[in-house]
Amino acid sequence: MVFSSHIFLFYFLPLSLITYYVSPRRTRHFILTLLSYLFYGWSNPLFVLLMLASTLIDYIAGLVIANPGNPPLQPDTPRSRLQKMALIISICSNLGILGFFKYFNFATENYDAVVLWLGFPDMKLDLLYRITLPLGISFYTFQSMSYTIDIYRGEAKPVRNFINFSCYVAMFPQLVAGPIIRFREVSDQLLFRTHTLEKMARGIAFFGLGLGKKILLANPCGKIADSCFDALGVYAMDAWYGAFAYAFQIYFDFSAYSDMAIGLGLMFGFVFTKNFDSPYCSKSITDFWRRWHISLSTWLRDNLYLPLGGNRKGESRTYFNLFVVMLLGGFWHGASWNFIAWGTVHGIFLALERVYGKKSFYKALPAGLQIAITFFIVTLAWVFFRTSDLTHALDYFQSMFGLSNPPNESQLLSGLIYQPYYVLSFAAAAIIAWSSPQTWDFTRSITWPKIAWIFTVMILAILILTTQSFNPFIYFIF
Amino acid sequence: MSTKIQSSREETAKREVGITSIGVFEKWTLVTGFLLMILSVPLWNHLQALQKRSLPSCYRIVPAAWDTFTQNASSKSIQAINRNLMDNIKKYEKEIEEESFLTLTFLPQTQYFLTRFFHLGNEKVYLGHGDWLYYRPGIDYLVGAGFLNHNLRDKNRHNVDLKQDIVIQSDPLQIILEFKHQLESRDIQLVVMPTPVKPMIYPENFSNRFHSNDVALQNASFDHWIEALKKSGVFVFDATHSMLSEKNTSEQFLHTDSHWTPQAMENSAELLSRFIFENTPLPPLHDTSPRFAHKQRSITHRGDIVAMLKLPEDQKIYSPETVSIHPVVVNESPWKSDPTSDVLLLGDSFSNIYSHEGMGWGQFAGFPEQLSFYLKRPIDTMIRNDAGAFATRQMLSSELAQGNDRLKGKRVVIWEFAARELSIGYWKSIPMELHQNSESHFFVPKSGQSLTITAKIEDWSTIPTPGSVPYKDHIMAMHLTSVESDGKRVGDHALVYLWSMRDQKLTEVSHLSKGMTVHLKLHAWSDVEELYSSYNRSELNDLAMEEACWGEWIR
Repeated sequence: MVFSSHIFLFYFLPLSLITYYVSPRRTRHFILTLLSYLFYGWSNPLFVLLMLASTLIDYIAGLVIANPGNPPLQPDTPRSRLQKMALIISICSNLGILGFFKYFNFATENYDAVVLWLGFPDMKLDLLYRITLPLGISFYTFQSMSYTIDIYRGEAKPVRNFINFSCYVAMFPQLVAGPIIRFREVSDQLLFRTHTLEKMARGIAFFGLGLGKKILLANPCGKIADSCFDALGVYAMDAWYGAFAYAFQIYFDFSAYSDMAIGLGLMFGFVFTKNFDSPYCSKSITDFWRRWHISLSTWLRDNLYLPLGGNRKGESRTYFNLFVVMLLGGFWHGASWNFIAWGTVHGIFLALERVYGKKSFYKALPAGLQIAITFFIVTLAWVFFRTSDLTHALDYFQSMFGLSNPPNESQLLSGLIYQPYYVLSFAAAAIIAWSSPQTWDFTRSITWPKIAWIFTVMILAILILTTQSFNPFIYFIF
Repeated sequence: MSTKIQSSREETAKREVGITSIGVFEKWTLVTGFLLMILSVPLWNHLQALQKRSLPSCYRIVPAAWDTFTQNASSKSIQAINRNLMDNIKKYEKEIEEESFLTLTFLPQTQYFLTRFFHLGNEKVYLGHGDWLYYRPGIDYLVGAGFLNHNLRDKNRHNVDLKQDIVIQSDPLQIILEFKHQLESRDIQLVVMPTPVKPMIYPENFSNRFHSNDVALQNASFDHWIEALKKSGVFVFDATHSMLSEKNTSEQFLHTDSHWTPQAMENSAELLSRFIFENTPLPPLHDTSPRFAHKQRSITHRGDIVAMLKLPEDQKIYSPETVSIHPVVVNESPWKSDPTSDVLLLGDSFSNIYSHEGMGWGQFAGFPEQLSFYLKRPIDTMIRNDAGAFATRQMLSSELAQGNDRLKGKRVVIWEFAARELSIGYWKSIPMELHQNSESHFFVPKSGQSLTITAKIEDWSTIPTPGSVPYKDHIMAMHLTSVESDGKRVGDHALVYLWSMRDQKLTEVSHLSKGMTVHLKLHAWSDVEELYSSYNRSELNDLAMEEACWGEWIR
């Protein structure tokens, strides 16, 4: 189910709010869990079983690690073999589920390509069946895994109540596209949280503005990007326009989802942390990763970068760790060489900037230019993210730098991508990305003019929504 | 260190929410307004149901889901039940959206506003200059990857996978060659005719970067495809160049429709007739050949692309267009398809537009009529408004499988389809085997009779979303089981064709779900075939060879 859909806005959300608030306090987690399973099963009911299995494994592993009856684990006390085994089972099962559903097709395709290249065509698998990727699997496996890791490290207390744990894993506001909520961030809130009108009002403001970002900015920019990236050949100006449009699309699409998730969380009393911090205002790639998809970069830092040694094992090891984390971070996004390339580009820049003391090598330039150059680098890297394979990426780069010879037919694109509505949305996206306040800041104080603005945005978004049939979020496929 | 940073992020968030500054009236207004907004649609749905004294449509999913579980639990695999459930969910979501007062009330006005002030079409319609409208797949066909490109075919293959879970080849070159060989084994010559689409001839009315084009735009794979076909002995008739040269003297495409003008169609029919005489072994007719004549009629209608825009009915942006058509009469009677002819035309809506009254542009003046006129001989036709890549081959295959040899006595088969089908069509392999005239196990009422029955819905074919397809009417196929009449079992299975969409609106029968009981009045399909066969129809792949009935829903 998509937040920006008719069924969610006018049926699922009212149903959720009503059933949640009319039910007794002690049953609310159960209600929220049921609703979340309904939300998740809407796209493919069978995958609910998969999420349930993952939840059960981590719940039991958590109980084993916590060793009920004993005092809470401390970070510096030794762990028993059983506790280590439980953690390993939890990690392996989650990564196993993720690996199978997300990377099986990629692995078999590459295996076929390699044996063919080696001259053994008979060894090709040529599988007729393809594994369908369950929605949001990358998010909920990471989230579920963070529970056992946090307990093992002694950074969180285990949950005794299975419903509470299921509620944490399946919570529909952030289930399919994050933010990745680590257990210790919400463990206290699962036991106690307040439900106030202020929270509800701010949640509505977040949700409404997120809906506007998605429908009024991300979707039109996506239309420009889709037209340019799906074309056989593109003229240089159109190619740049398409690449920048994609940069806006992915930012507004994902930050819209995060805003809506935070808003929905607030409506149910939960407070989730910030996931974006004006990333296109970054002055370096290091700065960008402090501001972009913060929940993922924090997760990767705590569960991959630091266990690899972080910056504690010398300079060259630090560069290597940064590179590996970004490469795997890229691969987490999708089973394709393009995502690996995207992660590699960012990894290289992060390592290089580490050499310059976490600053860019253009740090001497005026701030505006630093922001522009960083945005330019990030946009170039997005080309890997958006294109279907490496050949497509290289073709698109050639188009951007005027090195291709696009067919005459490509001129048709201009009739579509420069239509006033798209140009206007593109311009609005640029202005908002660089000069408007963040949703957190905008909603800190909600006045009458802001209420009018929120309702205007929401109504416009809903009206435009009636003219669209399907508008999934980009991060749904990760 | 990480814990410290983390806790600071958490704390920041909690502190942020804690210091939200909002007055009492402001927060009540925001919350009440939001709740009213999201509750308005379901409330309207309930009120409307109360007025009609029926169950609100939003609960329709419950019996459908229940039936899926209870009626299929023992007989089907988990995957099959899951797929049924997913089908029901998708259908339910689509219906809820289409029936919503929000969509019914605000969609036309919003689209009008966007079209009028922002020059914006929708997901299927692109706006050109003035009143020129373009159907999106036509543009995509030209600017997208070559249709013989393997990546594109993989993409199509995966689209098919979603429904079938298996890999299906979709290659226009291989499939056309396969069809050529199938016909060759019956000593029949194949002529392929990919009909040009609007942006190929009129790019200047879509993009400012074209002023006037002398060279037709084409998909990147087209030249290679046509060469490969010619090398393999397939005759290809391409009307693009003649349309391009004619466009200065007469308009070749309707402004607000995805199809060609009568002039362009008649000119193409004349050129094709010459092409056939020059390249294929059609014998001269006897002296008793029919007398063909043209009449003249003027038709005013609004194009199919305007309908896809879903503007208010009284909109003034796009006016109706007037065209002059030339209905063909044979021996003073309106032209009719002749199954005994030695020429068979398989065609899509380009063939049908001036033949089929349902399309709104008159009748007896379409491509088959004009071709027949210029060939000076009767021709046989099998026409379906969409899915030129497979629909007409499927019709032909079904007839052969049922023992009706539609290819008997044929010398030439002309296969006309919109060129865009080369990119978006489902180029599936279809057998062309003549079977014995065997008795179908599927129930069909006797010819000339009708029968009221009660049966359970086992499956149904795809139903289009109104406005997303270039036609306004659609027929669906429904597989029924436990067919009873007056309390007596008359058959275990029946394949029924019914209206699923009329005039861009889904019919009530299209809202029924798998497992539900349905009451229908059935007729033998052969009794109504002439009336309904050329309407767009979706098939149930497994049952395409079975004998069908025509059904009328009884509430």
